Formats: sequence, C-alpha cells, structure tokens
Amino acid sequence: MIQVENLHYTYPGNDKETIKGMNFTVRAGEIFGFLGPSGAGKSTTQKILFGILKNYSGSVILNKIEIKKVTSDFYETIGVAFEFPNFFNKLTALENLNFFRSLYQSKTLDPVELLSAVGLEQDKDVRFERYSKGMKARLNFCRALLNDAEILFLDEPTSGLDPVNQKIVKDIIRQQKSQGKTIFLTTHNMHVADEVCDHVAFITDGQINLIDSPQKLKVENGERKVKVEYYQNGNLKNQFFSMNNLADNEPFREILKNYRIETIHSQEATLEEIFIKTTGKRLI
Amino acid sequence: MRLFSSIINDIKIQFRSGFYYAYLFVCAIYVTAVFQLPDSFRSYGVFYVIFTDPTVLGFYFIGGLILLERRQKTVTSLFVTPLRLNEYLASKVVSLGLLGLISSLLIAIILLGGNFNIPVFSLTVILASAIFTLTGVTLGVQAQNINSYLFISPLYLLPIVLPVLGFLGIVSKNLFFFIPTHSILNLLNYSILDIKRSSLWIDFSLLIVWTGIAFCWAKSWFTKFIINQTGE
Amino acid sequence: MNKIKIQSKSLIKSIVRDSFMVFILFIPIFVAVLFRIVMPILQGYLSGYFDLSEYYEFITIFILVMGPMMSGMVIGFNLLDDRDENILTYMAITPLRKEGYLLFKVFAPMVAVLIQSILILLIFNIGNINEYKLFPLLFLLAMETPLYALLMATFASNKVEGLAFGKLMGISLAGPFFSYFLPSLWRFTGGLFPTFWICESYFASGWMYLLFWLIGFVMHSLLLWQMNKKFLQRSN
Repeated sequence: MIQVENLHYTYPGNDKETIKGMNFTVRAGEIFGFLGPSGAGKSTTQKILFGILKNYSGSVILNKIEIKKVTSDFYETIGVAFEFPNFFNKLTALENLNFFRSLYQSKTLDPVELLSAVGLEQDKDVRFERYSKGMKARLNFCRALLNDAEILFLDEPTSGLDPVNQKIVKDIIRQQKSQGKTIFLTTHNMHVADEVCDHVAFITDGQINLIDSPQKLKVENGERKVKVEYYQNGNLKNQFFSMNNLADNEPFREILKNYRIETIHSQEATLEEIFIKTTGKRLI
Repeated sequence: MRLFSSIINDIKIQFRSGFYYAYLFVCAIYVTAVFQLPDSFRSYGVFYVIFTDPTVLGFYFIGGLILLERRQKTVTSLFVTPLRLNEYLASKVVSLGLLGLISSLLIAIILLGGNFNIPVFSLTVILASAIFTLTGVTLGVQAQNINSYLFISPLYLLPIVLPVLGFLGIVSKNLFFFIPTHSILNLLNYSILDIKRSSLWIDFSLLIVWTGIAFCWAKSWFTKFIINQTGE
Repeated sequence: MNKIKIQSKSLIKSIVRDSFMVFILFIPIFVAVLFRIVMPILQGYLSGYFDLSEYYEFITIFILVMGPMMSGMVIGFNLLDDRDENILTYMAITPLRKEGYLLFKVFAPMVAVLIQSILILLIFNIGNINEYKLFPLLFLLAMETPLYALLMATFASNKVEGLAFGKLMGISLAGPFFSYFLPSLWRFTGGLFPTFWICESYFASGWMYLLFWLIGFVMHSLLLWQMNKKFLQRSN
C-alpha cells in the first residue's frame, strides 16, 4: 500500500536534513506503527506521505502513485488526524464535521454516528472553542474517519485521552482494520503501539532503526523465564524459573504447592525496553 | 459544491466573529455623518465613504483571518481534504466581497435613493473588493501578527493609492491609469457622481485583468509561504 | 524543561511585539508633522472660501485623540496574542504576577502617550492653542490607552473578532465631532464617548472647564476600573 525508498527531506531554509534516508513498506490492511521520541521526524514523514511536503528526494509510492504527482482528488482516499486538533473555533462540533464532510465527493459517513461512537453525541452542538482537551482529541479522530478512507494517518490518536476513551479509540482502530483499512499510526506511546500495531518502526533522528512485529520483538528480546511472587511466613518473596520444562521443575512445584502465590509473570521484554536497547534513546 | 460550502462556512464564521454587526454599526455612523453634509455634497460624501471603507474591508479583515487560520492550523487540515487552493481563495474573496457589497449598497441606497447606477456600482465594488482581499492574502501569509500586518499595510498599499493623486489634480490623471485604483475611481465617479465616460469597458477589463493577476499572486505566495514551508 | 523553553520563546516574541509599540508611538507625531506642513499650504488654496485656521484648535485635539486609540489597539492585539500563547497564565505564577504584568504592559504606556501628546503639541503649534488649558486634559487622554487596550482584549476572543471590534472602537473618535459641531444641548449625546469630554472641556471656560474636566476624569477612571476588573475576571 505504501512503499518508501531512500527518502530524504530538508525543510526549506534548513541546512540539516530532517529525514535521512528511510526505507519501509506498509502492507494493505495492516496497522503500521511509527514510534519515536518527539523531534525524530515522525510528523515530517507523515506530512510527506500525505503529500503536503513535496520537495523530498527518493520515492514514496502510495496506492501505486508517486505521491509528488497526486492531485487534490487523492485526498478523497485518505483520512488524516493531526496531532493537534485543528477546527474552527466559532463552529460547533457537528458544524465542523458537516463542513469537512461537504468537501468530499466520495461516500462519507454520518457525522452524528461518528460522534456517538466516541461519546460526543451529547456535545455535538457545543462550539469547538468550549471543548475540553480530550473532547477535541476525540473530535479530531472522528474527522479522519469521515470519508471512509482506505488509508488512515493517525498522529498520536490517544494523546490527551483518559483510559476509558483511549480504549474506545483503540477499539475503533482495530475495527477499522477489520474492515480492511490500512492504518499508519504515529505515536510515542509504546503501550498503544504494542496493543494495536502489526508492525512497528523505531525512528530516531530521521532514520529507521528497526522494523518488526511487536510480538516477535518482545519474545526475541525477552528472557524465557517466569517470575513468581509468593508469601513465606508473612514475607513477600520472589524467585525466577526457566520456562523450559517448567512442569517438571521441582522447586517451582514446591512453591506452587506450599505457599500463597501473589503473581506469576513471564519475562518477555516491553516494547519500551527494546526501543531503548536498540536506539540508545529514551522515549519522551 | 466544495466552493459553495466553503463560502457558506466562511460567511458563518465571519458572522459569528461579529463582522456583520460591526458593519451594520459602521454603516449607521457613515449614513448619519453624510446626512449632516449639505445636499450638494452628499454624493461626494458617499463616494468618499465607499472608496475608503467597504471596497477595502477585504484587505483589513483577510490578514486577521489568515493569521488566525495559520495559528489554529485549520489551513493544514483543509489541505488534506479535496479542497483546492483556488476554491479556498475564491471562498475568501466571495465572502468578504459580499460583506463589502451589502454595506456599500446599504449606504448608497439610504443616502442616494435609487439615484445612482446600481449595476456599474455593484460590479465595481465586487471587483475592487476582490483585488484588495487578494492583495491582503499576499501580506497575511508573511505577517507575524495583526499589529505588524496593520502597520505594514499602508506601505504595502502605497502604490495602489497613487492614482488618488491624479484625481486630486496633483499629478496628471492618466499617469497611473494602469493601477487598478484608477479604474475604481473612474467607475465610482461614473456610477455615483454621474460623470460621463464613454469607455466603461476599458476600466472593467483592466479591473478583471488585475483581479486575475492578484489571484495568481495570492496563490503563488500562499503556496510559497504556507504550503511549502512546513505545511502549516 | 521543554515547556520553560517554549514559554521563554513566547516571552521573547512578546517583548519584540512590545518594542513595536515604540514605533507605533511615532505615527501620530508623524501625522502632526505632516499636518504642520500641509495645513498652511491648504490654507493658501482655500483662502477666500474658507478660513481653515479657525479649526486649528479642533484639528489639534483630533490628532491628539488618535494617539491613544492607535497605541491602545496595538496593546489590545498584543494582549490577544498573549492570551493565545498563555503568557498571562504563565505570568500569574511568576513573581511579577498577573497584575504586575498588566501594570507593565497596559498602564505603563500611559506615560509614553503623555510624552507623545506633549511632543505633538510642541510640533503642531500653529494657531492660538491654549497650552495651559490643554495640558491637564492630556492626563485624561493618556488614560484612554489602557482603556482601549482592555476593551479590545475583554470583548474580543481572538484577533479576527479584535478586528471587527476595532472597527467599532473607531467610532469613539466621533466624540470631539459631537462636541464641536453639534448645536446646543444635542451635542451631549456624544457624552457617551470619553473623548467628548476632552474636547468639551477645552472649549469651555471658567468653572465649566473644571466641571467638564472632572466629569471626564470620573468617567475615564470608572471605565478603566471596570474594564480592568472585567479583563482580570475573563482571563481567569
């Protein structure tokens, strides 16, 4: 769906490259996560991918078309949610969505249904300027879905949301995937990436350090051990056991038999740890 | 369809920002003030008011509109939809032109009755307003804030005002015939002051050509300063 | 860390905006210089039809009244920008406090405007202007700068509304016209504009001069006090 080869980009008036040679492929129907700290070039790459920044070198092919050459009609086929919600302050949420809807000739979804999907139905007639941060973020997410696009670009879709709404948004993202949509997701939230992405790319300093599936990364980088926490004479203790032949591991069975167990965890690595290990950088 | 809903949207936002209330009030003041003039001066009063306010209001407001849209980044979100830059600009021109036309007609009709050439007058206000709005776009895309926009604009508009010198009799009237203001003054002269002119079409063609030039200028600077810069 | 960096960047931007103020202060002075040159020439053209010199005092007052309008609007737009960038909230947690910031930003320019109007008087000294009568009125005039600034920043929520509101505020320049041109008691309808009392007081004599100055002073102070309160309420 998206093929990027040897992508370089420098902002006009800058002498340093912001994107320093990227290569990656996003397959149709997958959720591709672009992970990295702020300032790594995530948003810039996204702006190139949907054709706002055109003076790049290298090749970016979306849906078999070189992105440099697309016309405005291309925007019928993509949905974009920017990191910061940008709407008209003087219009209500519904008026805003209706206006953006009217710009598409292709099939569009009912804004009221979208608003109720993210729990904003009650506030649809409230002006955008009166919306709270979290409400703005949810409205922003709605707009990306408005034209029922084949490709969605979501920039930090869960930032500024409480856990309940984060879950709603993640569920909708997965549901979009099940409808066959391709989703390009930018985030620095490793938990979100871990939960929804099929593939993740680690970005630092305008370059890609690694691309793989979160599941595989976690297993490969983890230790095949379990950690058991249990109470012995009123004291909380813990012990590690290899996962190999765990059923025949005598000391392990002893603990299970004789003590009150608090927790048992397998020791695969978190995405965050892997990120720090591979890139040497922290996510901020 | 996109253009139409864009225009409606712009008018809605301008209405809610108080543009129409402000102009209703401003018109009332102008009308009251011109009524104080002796009858023989009334059409001169209308001429002066129309030339200095409703025709240039597009320039005054477009700077703020563009600065605000840049700040709120609605510009960026519009350009990832099928909306064309042409349509975006045309929508601004039409919505502000409408405000200019309504206020001009209101002032002229109350003060002069039907005693002026309404079609020529209206067309002149529409074209003049378009030229000023588009010129304002070229400054609005570069300005850092409203204050610098407002205080650079007199310098920016200086060449456009030159033909006024001709009409005041300070220099030869035809020296600046190619500057749009020359044609605007001619056509307002004709429609309000009933000063005969044989060649309306020259003035109208000049204004239409200038509208085209201003449109291309606005479009290219919008692309240069906003779309190419950071996409914002 | 990052946040502080952004804030200080905004602060620098805000200071640059303020230095622009200095530039704006020179515009009415420039206009005064221009009139100083143009007026006698115009008088020459018109001699026989119209005695322009009769209006010199009125024109002086009109130019003076424009000064606070301009600087007030500039400060008003600055405050709107500051609100956009959350500078005011940021200031509330610095030792300067919100009130201190307002004092510095909105009320301090009163001194500048006072100096500006004295300069205009010195330059535009044609005709028989009574400096002794005009000087006490300049204090009222200076109070209009923060008044316009606070009016704009309170009633407009962004720069676009500010522009529309600025258009309305321009009407307050009509005050001197009411005072000077309207006959008899009708002119007191213009008393709604603070600028009216400056003109009215100047052209009155004796006790009436003092009375109108007082009315003007009370009106300016009350409005300023109210607007300051409203603005602080709104920015909370």
